[in-house]
Amino acid sequence: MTAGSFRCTGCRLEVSLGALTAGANPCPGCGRPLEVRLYPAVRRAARAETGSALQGEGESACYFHAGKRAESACSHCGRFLCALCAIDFAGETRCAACLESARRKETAVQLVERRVNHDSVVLLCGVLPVLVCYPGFLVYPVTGPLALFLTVRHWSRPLSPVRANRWRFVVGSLFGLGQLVAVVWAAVALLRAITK
Amino acid sequence: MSVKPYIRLPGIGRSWVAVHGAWAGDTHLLCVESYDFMERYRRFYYAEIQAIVLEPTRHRLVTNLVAGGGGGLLALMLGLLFTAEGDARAGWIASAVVAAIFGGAVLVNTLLGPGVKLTIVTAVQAYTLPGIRRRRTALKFIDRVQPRILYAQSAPAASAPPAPGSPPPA
Repeated sequence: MTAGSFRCTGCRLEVSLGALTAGANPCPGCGRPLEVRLYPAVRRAARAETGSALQGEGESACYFHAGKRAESACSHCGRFLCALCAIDFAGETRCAACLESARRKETAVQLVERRVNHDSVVLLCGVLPVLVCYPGFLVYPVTGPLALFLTVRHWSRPLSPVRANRWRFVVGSLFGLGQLVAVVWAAVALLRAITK
Repeated sequence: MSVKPYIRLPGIGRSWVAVHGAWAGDTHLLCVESYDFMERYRRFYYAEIQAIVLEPTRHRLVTNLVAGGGGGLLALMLGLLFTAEGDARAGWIASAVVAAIFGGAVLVNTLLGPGVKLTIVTAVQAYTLPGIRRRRTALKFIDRVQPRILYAQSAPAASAPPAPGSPPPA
């Protein structure tokens, strides 16, 4: 059994789940009342899949371990994989190389650990200068085109998994367009005033 | 109409720099730390969650002490200030208003219930959800998540898994 553990907030003692029962438990270190809900996974033994050796000539070998029998294939690249190399991921079997590639390219949303919210940046660039009124007008030549550029550049990128739509892009770019129009109008007005 | 892949769970906490929230997916729990323009994610697959632990905290007591003590001190100072200026009545009114505001905050804080820390424990890590600070919120969170955990860790059954975006069967 590979039971997890946690650190008691009161005494900082590392408490193993194996020492606890479901329900109320006092902390073994300081006696603080802990309310524990245990789930079946705590009793599940860890599986140590190392793969089996090749038995005969007709068997396919793992791409990464030539002496081990291939038991599945990577659903992404098709390489044969032994039990050690086969990784269950999102209902598919993948090799470590494809998993790392998916992580780097952010093609698998489950592997993304952090994400820049470009839509929030666009919303800020578009809306904040307008809300700040007069001082904000000075930055319109920068923030307006920036909001539009970022919208075009990042529109098709994956959104945050907890955001359902791209309304920030739309609102931010509309305000950015308005800023651009204001800048052009001001430039034309200034030009006319100078040439009069 | 598209089905949301994640459902927001009870418990949103704000620290000085980030907003913390938890979302329930089909196969895992997603904990999100939202900074101004960036998000960090932690995923806990239901099949791997071994336990949820609730530890009592002194959050409510400390908040009451700070709000009550600070409010009382401020009310007293205002009363003395106005009285020193010669307007005792204004001092009483100001003190009463401040005391009412802070007293109301103490009352609300008390009614919100005791403070807890909720920790999710797997075989390799234990993570305390920063967004859950009250027992009431923690119990709501567990009510939403526990069925998903038990479903994921149960033996293979004939019934189909819950549809995306919907709670699993009881």
